Amino acid sequence: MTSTDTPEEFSERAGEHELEISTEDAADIGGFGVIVAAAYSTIREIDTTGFEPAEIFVPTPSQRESG
Amino acid sequence: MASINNSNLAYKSVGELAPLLESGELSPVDLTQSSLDRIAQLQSTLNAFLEVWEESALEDARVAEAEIAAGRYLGPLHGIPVGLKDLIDVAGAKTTGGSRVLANNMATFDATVVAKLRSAGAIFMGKLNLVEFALGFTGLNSHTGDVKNPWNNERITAGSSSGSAAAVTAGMLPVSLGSDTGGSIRMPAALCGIAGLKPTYGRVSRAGVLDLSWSMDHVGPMARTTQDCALMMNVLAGHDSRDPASSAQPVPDFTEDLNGGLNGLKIGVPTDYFFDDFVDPEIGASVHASIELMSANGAEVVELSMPWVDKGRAINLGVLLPEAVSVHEKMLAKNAEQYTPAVRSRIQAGFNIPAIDYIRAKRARLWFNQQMATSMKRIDVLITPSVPIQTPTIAECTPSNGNPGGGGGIPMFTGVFDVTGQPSHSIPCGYTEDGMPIGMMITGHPFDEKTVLRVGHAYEQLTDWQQRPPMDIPAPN
Repeated sequence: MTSTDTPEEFSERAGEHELEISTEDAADIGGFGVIVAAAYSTIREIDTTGFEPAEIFVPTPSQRESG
Repeated sequence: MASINNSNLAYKSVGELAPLLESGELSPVDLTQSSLDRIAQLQSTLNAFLEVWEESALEDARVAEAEIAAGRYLGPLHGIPVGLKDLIDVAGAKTTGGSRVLANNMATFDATVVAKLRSAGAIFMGKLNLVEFALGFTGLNSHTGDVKNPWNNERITAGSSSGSAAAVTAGMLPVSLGSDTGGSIRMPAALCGIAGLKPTYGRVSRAGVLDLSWSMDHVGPMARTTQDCALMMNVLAGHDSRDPASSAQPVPDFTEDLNGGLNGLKIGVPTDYFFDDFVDPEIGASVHASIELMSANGAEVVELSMPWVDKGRAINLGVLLPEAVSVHEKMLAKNAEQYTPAVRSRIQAGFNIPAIDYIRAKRARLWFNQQMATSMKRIDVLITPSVPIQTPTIAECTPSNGNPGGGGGIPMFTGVFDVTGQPSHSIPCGYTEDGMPIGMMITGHPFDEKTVLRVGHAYEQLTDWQQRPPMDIPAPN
């Protein structure tokens, strides 16, 4: 999402992601959308080189029953 | 069993009630009836409860009375009335999340925290009001009705654990459970003048509790005193295989160090962000006065430069929102019109967040946690205001026409410690000129709730803030 999306653009792009949002609802997001956009703008400024989340894929343990 | 007729039971702590129950001076039935009477007196004013379980509570109290009389006292929560934020499952009862979407959602099993409290002999009084699906910080809910602050009924309680805070503040209950993803235990605790502990992430099981943002959701106690939070933690904490994030760290006796005092403890005071110019002067002054009081009573104060810490709130939101969208995506597609407009638009604001932004937020979270751990190397706890602004009115915070409503400054400080997962505790540290409570936040190292609680309890022994009854409700009958 960007803070420059119109409600129509926002609704259309949500649809591209198989998420339903009416243009009326998109218009209602209003000020909160600006807050969200500002949060990610702040996050993008952080140099996170070397900080990879530790969630490593772990195979589901075998559930094979004995016998 | 002997009983006492005491109209002041409403404002007694668990620490005061438990010895009376154990000795037989107070009957769990009388205590439960006293709680029910207080609920009946104030529910129409405060709207703290969504459901009150009068019949089952009295039945459970009679069982507790018989067990105690037979010498089978289970511990400090035996016979104590407890309220549950309505996103916590109780087998055979509805868990609505404060939403019409889940209006008929019957729980099949007890949440782990409920099972633990049940085993400890607690009496469940009902389900407490909240912000719909806990996604909001003002405490308002246009479907279930707004919860009123017992200190001033025109003002918000903050949230999302709004009912949990109001019920304890007003003396309807001695303790309740809340949840905290951006500050939802500590913000209402601060604005209502009670104690609220967000434990370390993974310390208390989330199994059977509705998700908001699974990597930051915490369940914890709200109570009149820090001691009561410690007593609750002794029951709530521990590993649970039903919660994939549950920690296997050893569980201490959380009351063990409560009387350790402040001598020998190093208290960190940030020189950045938490005391900046945007913080209300009365709030800043109260917290600084509290720090001076702790210093005069043995604590060593260490100033800390934390120029990076203002990024915490953005990271909190940046992780929370995509996870909340993921939780709600399918429900929202089917039931969009049943959500409150305010919460629907908050979730929808996250619909088009690119995957890379979520990954960035998660990497930034690791970076942030490293900064915090490095900064806190030389201190035991960090002291800050809980909330930087004075309590707004309900009218100021009510959203309208694309305006998200006021009170946006409320979660600026609490969310920082949902990002780090550290234990963080809000207690009252004064009142504003117009009589609203001010909260001070005590934050410790991961899995060191004991030191956080030690500092909170020591401070409470030096002041009487938490003993004052709220001003905008009648005294108990």
